Amino acid sequence: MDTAIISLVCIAVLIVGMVTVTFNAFQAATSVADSLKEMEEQASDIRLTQISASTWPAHTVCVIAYQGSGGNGFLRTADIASGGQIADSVEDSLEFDSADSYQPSIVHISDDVYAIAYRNSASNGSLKTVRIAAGGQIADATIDTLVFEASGCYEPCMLHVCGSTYAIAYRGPADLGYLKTVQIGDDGQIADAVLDTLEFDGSQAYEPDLVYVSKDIFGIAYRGGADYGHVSTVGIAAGGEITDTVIDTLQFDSSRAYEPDIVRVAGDVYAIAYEGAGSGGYVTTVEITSDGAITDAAMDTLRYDPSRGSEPDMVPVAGGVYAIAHRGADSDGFLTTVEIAASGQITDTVIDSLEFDTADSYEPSMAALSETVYAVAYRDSFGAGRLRTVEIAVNGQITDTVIDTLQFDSSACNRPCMVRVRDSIRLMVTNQGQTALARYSRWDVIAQYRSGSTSYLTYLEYTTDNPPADNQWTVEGIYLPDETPEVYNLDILDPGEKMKLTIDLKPDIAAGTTGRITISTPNGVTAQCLVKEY
Amino acid sequence: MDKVIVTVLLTVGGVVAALAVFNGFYPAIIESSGAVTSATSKVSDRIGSRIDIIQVADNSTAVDAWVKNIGTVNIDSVERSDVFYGPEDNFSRVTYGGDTPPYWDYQFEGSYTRWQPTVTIKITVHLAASPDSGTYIMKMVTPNGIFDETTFSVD
Repeated sequence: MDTAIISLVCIAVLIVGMVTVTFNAFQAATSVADSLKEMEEQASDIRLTQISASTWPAHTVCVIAYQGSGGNGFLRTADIASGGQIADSVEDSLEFDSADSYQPSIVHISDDVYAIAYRNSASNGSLKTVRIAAGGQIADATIDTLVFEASGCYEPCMLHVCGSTYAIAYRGPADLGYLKTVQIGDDGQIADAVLDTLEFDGSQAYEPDLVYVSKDIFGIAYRGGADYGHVSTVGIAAGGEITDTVIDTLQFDSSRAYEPDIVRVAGDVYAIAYEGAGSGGYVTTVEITSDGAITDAAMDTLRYDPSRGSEPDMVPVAGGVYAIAHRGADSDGFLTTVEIAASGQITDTVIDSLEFDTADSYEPSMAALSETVYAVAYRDSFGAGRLRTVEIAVNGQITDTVIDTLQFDSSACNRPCMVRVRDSIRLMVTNQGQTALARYSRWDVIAQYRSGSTSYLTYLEYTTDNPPADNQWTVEGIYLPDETPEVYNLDILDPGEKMKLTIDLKPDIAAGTTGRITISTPNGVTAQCLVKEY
Repeated sequence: MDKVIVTVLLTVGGVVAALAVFNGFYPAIIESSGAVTSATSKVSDRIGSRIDIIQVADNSTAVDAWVKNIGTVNIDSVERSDVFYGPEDNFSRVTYGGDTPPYWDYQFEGSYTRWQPTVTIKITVHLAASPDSGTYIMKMVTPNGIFDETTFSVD
């Protein structure tokens, strides 16, 4: 009897043990299955999630600085739709100097602050800061003024160096080439003294044009002694200290080179457009390494306009295509596209050409408004200020007619200098997947770009405020595929819908450079968008 | 009398046998249950862990990488992760923390304090000098062996 009881106890212990093991194994299997199910759901979620990002087509406001009525300095803003249609009247106007103001060069400083370097009525170099809102409204008074050169300043050209440091190259006393650095705060306040000065050419330096080369190296193209074409390199530290001597110099044209305009092509290759021998329009490529060394000879040259190529302004179009606005035959306004390879080779024939004004057109200043729409501001045959928009395809083909025209100053306009008014970056994120997307605070937006000589990699904070503050982003709206506001499932990015993201970067992407914005959904699906700052 | 003695002996033997069986099986059962539970937990943890390097680029004498937890579980002890960095043909493990480059550290983006699902951390690899131009590899391995890697170029 006892033996039976003991046996039963043993059997019970064994059964309990087996049940425990089985139960635990079952629990384990269930837990693993749950995890697998969760991951499968998430994997499926990721598979079904797909987004794309691109820039949102938007209207552009341009600001034109020029010498206007009475020889005084003026600013005018014009609103241009994404298709190139110009508003019928200027948005706003400011007489920034009520005395003679020559050859203004305008650059963006920060947010709504801009700086204008010009020759004032005493022929001195003057620098003023102003406020221009994204919509084109110009504050009624200038912010600050500095006379940076009191002994003669001609044809100043200003460029951002780093942070609050800016460089101004100009033809100074005795026609020598000068380079100065100044400090301008984000609020437009200009430091009372120049940071540093270099006489970069002791012979002659007309119409200098600055270009960024590498971290602290800058290039200057100019018309040097005997009117030959020169390009020199100098070092400028972030704090504004300029190297005591130029690093290297190349005489790229030993005939003549009036009003050179230099742009970077790719890597160490730079292109210079200028009025050369016989007043023809020339473009030449040179090699400048990141340490400022210039290869001893020009790489290639093209005479893109045999008759005349005065006052050229060159802007990159896309993929090795460059557009040059210039005063051509009979002093009419011309636009020519050329192809320049990354190796510096220039295609022997131009891609296309358009006579954008069949009457006299002086001193054109061009700005890219989008990938295919460009604006040209110039002095027309009446001496008035005129703005025209044209379409240039990415392959360089120019549409045969101009898109629109505005006479922005009917009285006078000399040496207009045009830039786009900075606005927030607007991206379009399209939900190309099959799942609805929300929880925007769990999205990631990261910007990689260059400003001045500094590279930035910035993680942007999400905010529900619109407009966002510096280095923040927000959802401005969600739209149906036809870009009308969404109707159902509000605030959720449903499949097929488009979301407008507004991003406020500080500092801004440098003009003429391209930034990269990476956007990630909460489940890690990413899209990237290149943002070109024209 | 003999029957009583036999019964007592059998009872004692039975109790001893029962104790022996209990002592032998019970710990084994408990241990195996614990082992199964532990293994299950680790398997679930691994199954639920996933990371994605969503952006990486050099930033002067540092390399910044943003890594997102795209799994379903929290990832703890981030500092015990392994970070590998270097040219694509010569990368090596970078130690966590310290004052002498190279080393790496991290911070949470946003107001988070745990690396929970959907949260992104910024990993910074501090270098002694700016990296030369070329193609580089960044790889992160979490403490439970989940990893992601990406290549990027330095101009």
